[in-house]
Amino acid sequence: MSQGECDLDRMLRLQTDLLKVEGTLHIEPLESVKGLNTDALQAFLVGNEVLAQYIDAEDLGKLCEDVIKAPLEPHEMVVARGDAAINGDSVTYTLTPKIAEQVEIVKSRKNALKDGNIHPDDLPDPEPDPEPNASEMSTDESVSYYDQMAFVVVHKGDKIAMKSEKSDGFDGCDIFGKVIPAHEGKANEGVLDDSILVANDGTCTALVSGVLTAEPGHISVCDELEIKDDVDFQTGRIVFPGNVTIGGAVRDQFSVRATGDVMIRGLVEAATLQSDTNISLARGMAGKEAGTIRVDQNLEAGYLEAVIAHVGGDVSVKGEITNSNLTIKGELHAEHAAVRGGHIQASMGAKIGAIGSVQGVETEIEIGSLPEVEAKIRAADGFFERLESGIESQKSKMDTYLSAIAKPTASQIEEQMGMQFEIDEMVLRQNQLTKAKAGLLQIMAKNTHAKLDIHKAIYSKVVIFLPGFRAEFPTELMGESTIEVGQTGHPSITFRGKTVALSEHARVMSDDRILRVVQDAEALSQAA
Amino acid sequence: MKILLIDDSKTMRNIQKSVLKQLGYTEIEEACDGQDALSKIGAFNPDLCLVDWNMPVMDGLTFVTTFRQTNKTTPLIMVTTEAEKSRVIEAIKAGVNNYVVKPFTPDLLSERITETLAKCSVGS
Repeated sequence: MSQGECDLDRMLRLQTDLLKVEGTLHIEPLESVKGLNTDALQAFLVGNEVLAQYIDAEDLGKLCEDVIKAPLEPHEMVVARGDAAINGDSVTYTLTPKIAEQVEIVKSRKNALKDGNIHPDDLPDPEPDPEPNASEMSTDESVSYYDQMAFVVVHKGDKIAMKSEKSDGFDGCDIFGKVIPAHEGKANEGVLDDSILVANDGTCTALVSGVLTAEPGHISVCDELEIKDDVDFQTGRIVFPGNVTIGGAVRDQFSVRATGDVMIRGLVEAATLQSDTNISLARGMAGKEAGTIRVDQNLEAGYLEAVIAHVGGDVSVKGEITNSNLTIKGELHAEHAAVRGGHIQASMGAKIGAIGSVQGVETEIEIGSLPEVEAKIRAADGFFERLESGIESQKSKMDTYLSAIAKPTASQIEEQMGMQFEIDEMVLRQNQLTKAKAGLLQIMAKNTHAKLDIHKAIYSKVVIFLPGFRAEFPTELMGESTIEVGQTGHPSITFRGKTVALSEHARVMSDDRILRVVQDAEALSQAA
Repeated sequence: MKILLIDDSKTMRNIQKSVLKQLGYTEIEEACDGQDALSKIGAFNPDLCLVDWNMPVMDGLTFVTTFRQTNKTTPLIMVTTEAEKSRVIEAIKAGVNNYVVKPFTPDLLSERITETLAKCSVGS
């Protein structure tokens, strides 16, 4: 070191960050800048094992200039830069735009109700409940809090999200030449469950229809919808492709439509219920003459009050059935229930505790009927009669025609053939109708049973419709009884162990409301 | 099996069609006279023709004579009110394979069709 020069190395200090990707050179205040130049600084860095390729000569030059300008001040500058490691990307799942939009709508709906921006009392009366398609979302921009569900429902095969694969990343290098290993992206396993299938191209598809859960770290579809509380403005009307369980009530003007079973623990008000399978109402339904049920299989209920129901299978009611209109293709099991008011039609018969009331409420029970099939049989009968009269008229026309001709011309022969052809065609149609009617009668025989078991009482003003008959009870009949129409087609009653004609206990009149199907030849002749 | 019905009476065509359908033939084309039939034959290429005698524009006999100039094999059944023996012979000479006199029953027509097809070895 010559005179006037300072001991530069003593005045320099190299500092690095944690990963040693950056090197900062600190220079203490200098009394003399003699000998200070970029080469000296570079030599210092190299002497400290910094790789030359990572040293920024430009920065070194700038640092030198700064020091020369103000040597009595301390200086520092980043002068060496290594290569930082680039970590790999983790697996991500991005919701498809359509699903993302639906999720957003549901979120906004929840927030609006939570923040109190929307109050049920401020909402307009709902539009009449349509029969929506669960797969369709409303395209109307206005929001109906009745129709808009608080859930995102997806269908089997719907595209839910796109998966992007993880990557390995790129290793880095610190300023001393040591490799900095990159972190591989995370697999994020467990984000999806068995309800979603990931294709090779990353498309995530629903394997079941159901309600979608799309939260950070968890996406799944559940084929059962469970609503812990009521179906009201919080939930909107429910349309679901699977089973639905509702812990609370279903409020006026709301609806639950499901392809699977519907189980409701609370009270159902004047709502609409629909299921492709079964409906179970643990408490019951107070329909206020507007509540409707449509179920393809069985219905179970605690009680039914002022309800309109169409049931494809059996109905079981524990409590009362009051002022309701029920159409049941199966059997009514209400052994311990009283049926008061309204009209009940049960194709396969009924078991009822008591019908009517002491006060004499008009109550109608119709058993052994199948209205849709009966309508077809009646139509076939009508058509058959029209054909019969057509045949008669054509035959008479042909007789008149032939009697007026001594020797027919070619065209008269053809005309005569035409007439005969029309008769043959009508006879053919009659034969087809007879076959079709036989099939319908078989359906009637298989799917109807005109038997009514009453456990306790039939009160006055009760009317029972049986195939071909109407029975009115002017006074009450207390005790167990069975009313049925046997193969002879005549109604009988078994009361206090004795089977007699129903007319001994009730006023029985012929009535064609229910078609009378007599099944065997002997019975046919008797009925005739 | 494709069958061409040639008759000016729609009722007669309907009667024949009904019999043919009962026999299981469903590929049926209709023509209202001989000329109409000749114009349809090229495209339809029938396996059997039922021909009426008395028709406007071109009668059945002229149709048979014209048709047989180019086609000797397709079976032809004359379905007509012309019942005289001389007329039957005339038609057979012109080239018809069988003859049904109106009024006929469905059974008779069905029998003649089956008979003709068997004779001419055309299977359905």
